[in-house]
Amino acid sequence: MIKEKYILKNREINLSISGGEISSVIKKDITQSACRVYDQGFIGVAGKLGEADPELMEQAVENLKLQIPYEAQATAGKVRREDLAAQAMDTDRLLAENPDAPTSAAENLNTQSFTVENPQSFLKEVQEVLEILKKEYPQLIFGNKVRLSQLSRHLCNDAGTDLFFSDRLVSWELLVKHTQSINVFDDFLACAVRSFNRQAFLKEAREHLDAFLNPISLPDPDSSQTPSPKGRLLPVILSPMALGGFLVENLDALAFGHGTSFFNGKLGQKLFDEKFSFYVDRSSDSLGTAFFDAEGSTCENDRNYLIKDGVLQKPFADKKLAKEFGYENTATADGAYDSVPSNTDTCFTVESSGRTLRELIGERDGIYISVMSGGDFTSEGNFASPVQTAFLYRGGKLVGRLPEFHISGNIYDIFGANFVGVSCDKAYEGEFKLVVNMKVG
Amino acid sequence: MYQFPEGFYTDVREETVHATTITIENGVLKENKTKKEQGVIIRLYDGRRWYISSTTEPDKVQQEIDSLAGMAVFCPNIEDDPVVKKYEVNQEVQLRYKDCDVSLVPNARKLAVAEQYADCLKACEKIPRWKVYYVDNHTRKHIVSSKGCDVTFDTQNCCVAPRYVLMKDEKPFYGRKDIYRMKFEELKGHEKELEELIREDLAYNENAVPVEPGEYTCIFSPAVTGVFAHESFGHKSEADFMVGDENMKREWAIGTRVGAELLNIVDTGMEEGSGYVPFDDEGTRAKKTYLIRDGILSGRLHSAMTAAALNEELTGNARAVSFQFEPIVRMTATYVEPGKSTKEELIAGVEKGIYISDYNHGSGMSTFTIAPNKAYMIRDGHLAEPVKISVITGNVMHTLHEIDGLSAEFELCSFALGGCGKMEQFPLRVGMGGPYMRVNHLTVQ
Repeated sequence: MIKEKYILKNREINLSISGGEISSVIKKDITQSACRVYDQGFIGVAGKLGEADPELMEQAVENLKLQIPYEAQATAGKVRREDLAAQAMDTDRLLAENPDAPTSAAENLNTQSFTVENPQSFLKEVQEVLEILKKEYPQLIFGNKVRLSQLSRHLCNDAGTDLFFSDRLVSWELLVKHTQSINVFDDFLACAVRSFNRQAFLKEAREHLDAFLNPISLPDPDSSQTPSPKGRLLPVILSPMALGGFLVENLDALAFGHGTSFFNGKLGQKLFDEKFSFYVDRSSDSLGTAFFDAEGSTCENDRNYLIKDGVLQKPFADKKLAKEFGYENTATADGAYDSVPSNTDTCFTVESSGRTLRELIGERDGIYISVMSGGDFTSEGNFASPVQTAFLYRGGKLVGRLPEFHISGNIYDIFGANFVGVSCDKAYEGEFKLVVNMKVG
Repeated sequence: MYQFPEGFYTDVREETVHATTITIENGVLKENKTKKEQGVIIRLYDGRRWYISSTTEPDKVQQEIDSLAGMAVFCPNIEDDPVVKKYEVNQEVQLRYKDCDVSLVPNARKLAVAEQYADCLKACEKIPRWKVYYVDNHTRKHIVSSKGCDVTFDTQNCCVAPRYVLMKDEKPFYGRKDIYRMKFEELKGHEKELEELIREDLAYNENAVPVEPGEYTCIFSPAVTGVFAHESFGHKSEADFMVGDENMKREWAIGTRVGAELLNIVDTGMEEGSGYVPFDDEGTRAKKTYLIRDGILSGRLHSAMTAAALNEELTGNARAVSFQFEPIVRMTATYVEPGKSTKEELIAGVEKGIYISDYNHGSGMSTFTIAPNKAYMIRDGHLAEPVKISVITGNVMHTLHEIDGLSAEFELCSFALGGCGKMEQFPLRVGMGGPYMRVNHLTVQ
C-alpha cells in the first residue's frame, strides 16, 4: 500500500471594483488537503478543507472498500521543487534595488513587491492606477476584479516522491463600459503577470482604451490596403486557445480510445500547417500551472507535443488512460483536490512561431479580438461566432474600435492553410497571440 | 455568539456542505466520493467599503472579525447607512430537507441508482462512449448579522446525469439527460425517458445535415426559452451593472417598453429546483420579481448594496457560489411565463423556420447567442429534417420585440452539472425555463 498526500493552497487578496472604486477587499486563505492510498489496483481518496491529519489518511484507507479501480502505479522517486512565487518576489526586490538592471529586465523596473501578508501596498497601487484611468477616461466606467494570488501545489508519497510548486500572480480583469452605452459592459481590459509593472500596464491600457474611443469601420479584405491571398479573409488576432476547444475535445485519449474522436484513424498524419504545433504546457510560461499533474506526472522539458509541425502525434492521456489504451502519459491528470485524478483538458497551448505579432501581421490590417462570446464548432469542425468587441490593428498598434461582426472557419483551415502563427512577444494581456486568417462579415 | 465591533455592519455566513459524486464510465467505477466541507465568510462594512475574509477555520471567526475591523474606518452612525438600513432582520429556521436529508442515504443505494441508468447505456450497442454521473448536495447555511439577522436554512438536490457520445461518419454527437430531483427516492424510474431520448438522438445524428445559413423564424423548446431569458435579459436585470451609471438608469427606467406585449419574464428563488434559495446570502427572504410584465420593464434583481444605490426594494438575489466568495447580484430561477397557444399551433404558423430542441450553451451581451445541440427545419408548418447549427444570434433589444407566440405548455428546468458564471463565480446553480416560444428574424449559422 502506498500512501500519498496532495495539498493545494490559495492565499489571495481579491479586490472588487465598482464604478472605478474598490468596493470590497477580500482576504482568502484556503487549504485543500487530500490523502490517497493505492493498493492492489484500487485507490482510496479522502479530502477536507484545512490541513491533512492522521484521521484523513485513515478515511482514505477506509475508502479503499469502495473498490475504485486504479491500475496505474503511484509516482515513485520523483523529487523537484519550483517556487516561482519566491522567485517573483526576489526578482521584484532585486530590480527595485538595482536601477542599472540589464535592458532585458527594464520592463520590470518600478515593479512593486506585493505580498498577501501586506494587502495595504497592493490596495494603494490598485487605487492609484484606477484613479489615473478614471481621470484620463472620464467617459468610461471600470468594474470587476483585481487579484493578487499566491498558490501552491504539493504532492508527496511514501514511494519517495516529493513535488512542490508555487506561483504568484497579479491579475487585472477590468470590465469597461462607456457611460453612453446601454450594454452591461463593452470591453475587457486584462493583464495577468507575476510582477506587476504600472507603466507597462498603463501603456497598454491607454492604447487599448484610446482605440476603444475611436469607432471605425471594418476593413475591406479586397481593398489594396489589405491585400489578402485567401479571398475574403482577414488576419484575426486572438488568445492562443480561443479556437482550441475543438482540438482539446477531440484529442482526449478517452475519445480516441473509444473511437469517438473527430481525428479517429489520423494519428501520424499531417492534418495542419507545418508551422502549427500544439502541446501540453507545464512550463513556467503558463502562469499558475504546476510542472506536475495531479498524479505527479511530468513532461520532458515541461512540454509534450500532441501536434508537431502539423502532424498529429498523440492524444493526451493521464496514467490510467495511457495504460488502458497504450498511449503515452502526457501529464494531464487533474480534477478537484479530493477526487480520483482524471484526464483533464487544461494547460494546452499553440507553439510560438518565433515572430512578433507585428511581424506576423506585416503590412496588412489585423483584427484584434477583445470580446468574443457564444460561438461554437459543429461536429464537422465548422466554427462560427459573433465578435462583440474588436479593434483594428495597424502598424503595430490598436487604432480603432470595429463594429460587431461574425467570424467563421473550418478547423482544418483555421490551423491549416489559414494559420499565420503565434507571436513570440506577449503583445497584449500578458500573453502570446494567435493569428489566423478568417472569414469576417 | 460573536462580538460584533461597534461602528460597523458585520455578517457571518457559515456553510456546511455534504455532497456525493459517483461516476461510472463505460461500465467502470471512476469516482465515488462523499464529502463534508465547512467554511465561513465574514463581511464587515464601514459605510464606504466591504472588508471580507473567508476561512476554513471556524474557530478563527472572531479573530477575523477583529482583524477586518482593524482595516476598516470607524463609522459612528453605521446604522443610518442606506445599505445597512435596507437589510431585512429575518430570524428563522427553515430546514425543508431535514426529514429527507440525502446525506443520510447509504452510499450503496446511491451507487445502485447510478448503475440502473448505466445499464440503459450499456445496453445500447450504438453508444461507444458514455458516463453516468450521480451527484447530490445538501447545504446548510447559517447567517447572522450585527443588525440581528439570524437565519438557518437548507437546500438540496439529487441528480443522475447520463452523458453519451454517438458517432456518424467519424463525427461525434454529444447526448445528455439531467434527472434532477429534491428527494433521493424520486430519482428512480426514469429509464424509459432515457431510452426514448437515446432513440431520438440516434435518429437525429443519423440524418442531420448542415443548415443553410440565413435569417429564420425559430421556435424554442422550454429549455431553450429558459436559456434565452437568462442570457438575453436576466443578466441585464442584475442591478450591479447599473450602479453609478446614470445612462443605464435612464435607458433601463422601470416602465420602459422592452419587448412584445405577450412577454412576461420572472425571477424567483421560491420555486423548488436548481434556483431554489429561500434566503439569499445576505439573509434576505426570496421574492418573486417580474423583470418584464406585458412587455414593460417592471423590475430588476438586487443585493442590499444595489437596492440602496437605486432606491429600490430587496429581491433576495445576493448570492455566492460558496463561502469563498462574496455575494453578488445573481439570478435564481428565471423563466418566461406561458401563453395560450400549443406547440403545434406555433409550428403550424411557420412556412420555413427552425425548431431548436436543445442547446449546448448560450451567452448574452447586446448580441445574444445560443449554440444548439439539436435542431430541426420547419417546412410548411411541420417539423422536417434535422440540421446542425453552430450558433444562433440576435440583437437582444430587437429580438424581445420579435416574439409572437408562447405555448401553454411550460417547463422549469434544473441542471445537474455546471451552472451560471459571472465574473469569477462559477458554477452557480440556477433554474430557467418557459413555454415553447416563437421568435422571428434570428441569424442562423
